[in-house]
Amino acid sequence: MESSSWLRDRPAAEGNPELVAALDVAVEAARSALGAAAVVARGAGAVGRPLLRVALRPPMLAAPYRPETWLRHLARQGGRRREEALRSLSGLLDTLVPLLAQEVLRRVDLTEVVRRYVDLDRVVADVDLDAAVARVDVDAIARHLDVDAVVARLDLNRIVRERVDLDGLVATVDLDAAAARLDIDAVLDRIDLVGIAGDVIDQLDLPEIIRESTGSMASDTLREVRMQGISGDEAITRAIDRLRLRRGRRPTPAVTGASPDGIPRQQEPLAPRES
Amino acid sequence: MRAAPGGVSPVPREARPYQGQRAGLVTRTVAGVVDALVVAVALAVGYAGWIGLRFVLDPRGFEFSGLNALPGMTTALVLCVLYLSTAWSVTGRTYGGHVMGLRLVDRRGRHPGLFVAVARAVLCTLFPIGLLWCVVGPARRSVQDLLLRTAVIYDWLPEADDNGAVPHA
Repeated sequence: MESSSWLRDRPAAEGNPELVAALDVAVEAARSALGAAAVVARGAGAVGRPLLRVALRPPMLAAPYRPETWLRHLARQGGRRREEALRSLSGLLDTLVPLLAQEVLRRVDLTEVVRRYVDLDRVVADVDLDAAVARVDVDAIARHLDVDAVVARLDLNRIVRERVDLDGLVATVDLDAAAARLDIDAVLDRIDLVGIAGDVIDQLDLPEIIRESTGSMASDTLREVRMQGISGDEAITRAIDRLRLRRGRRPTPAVTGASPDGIPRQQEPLAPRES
Repeated sequence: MRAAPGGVSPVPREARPYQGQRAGLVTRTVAGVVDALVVAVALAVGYAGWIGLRFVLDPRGFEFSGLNALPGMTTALVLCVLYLSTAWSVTGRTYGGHVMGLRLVDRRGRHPGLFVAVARAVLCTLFPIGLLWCVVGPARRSVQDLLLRTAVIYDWLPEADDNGAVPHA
């Protein structure tokens, strides 16, 4: 029995088997009654059809007075009434259905219904996405994009470092032509060549090289004698100062470090003090 | 070889802090001894030349004679004054000063003039002990320096500029 099987599948019928049995009995009884009525009708039709024909078209009456003519006239009027009723019903449905649908949809969680009963994957599988995308105006969408914000979120350095063949790219550049357009003089003007040369010379100890290569300055022995003399001067000055116990007196002109050309200036005027 | 302004100094790095500073007793004494030796050698060579000239001019009458004390001493003193004054007025340093890296400058930091050079040469020749005052006196000045307003400084650069100015003064 289809109706009962359907009912048994319903959650409400699972706890009430008596109701299901009663329904089955009623359905079977109705089906039997309808079968019997059909048999009776078929038998009555076979007997009453000639009688009905005679009753509708009596031989002694003219056509306008026959019952058949009246019935046809009634049928035409009934058809017109039916069409008018359908038009009225259609107008009424046009008014009521949206209201009913709105009230129904307001009470039904349609999203949940779709999620539970609709196989969206199958629906989407039948959709021609390529054709749908082809109808999209991508340029219009791109015009609304904030490209600066998108670029700001990208690590362009990493992307270039990992994905760009810089060697290959540079190999395609005509560096000679680029170098030919360089204003070397302007570049050199911005470089402190004198300062750089001074630093290099200072690191190389060029005076020592000059002395060793030309011998124009004092030899090593002469330099040693001079330095020994200076040391002797300093020693005597310190000894005299200690003997005098003159605190705060500068024993020799102070040396405060090298001047820009590497040679310190005398701190006291060379002119002798008036004494 | 000069050190251009802002250029390379030929002075050894360890000696640069002392350039332009006044020299002390030891260095100046050594320089003085060297100068004395120079004068002695010049005197000996001059005397030998004088003897040789006399021998060439009068071989028969030549008679070797010893150097008399007064003329010899006078000649030595004169020679010393000439040597010192010439050296100081022309280059600012004697040979002894050149050996020890010293230079004499006046109160403007330049080579002393001829008058100052001669006066200082006379004072140094007649009163060399005045050098000791640079030990006990202020700012390493000898008696001669105090009288003539000169100073002896460390200067290892070979020459002064054309105006006589030393680079450190």
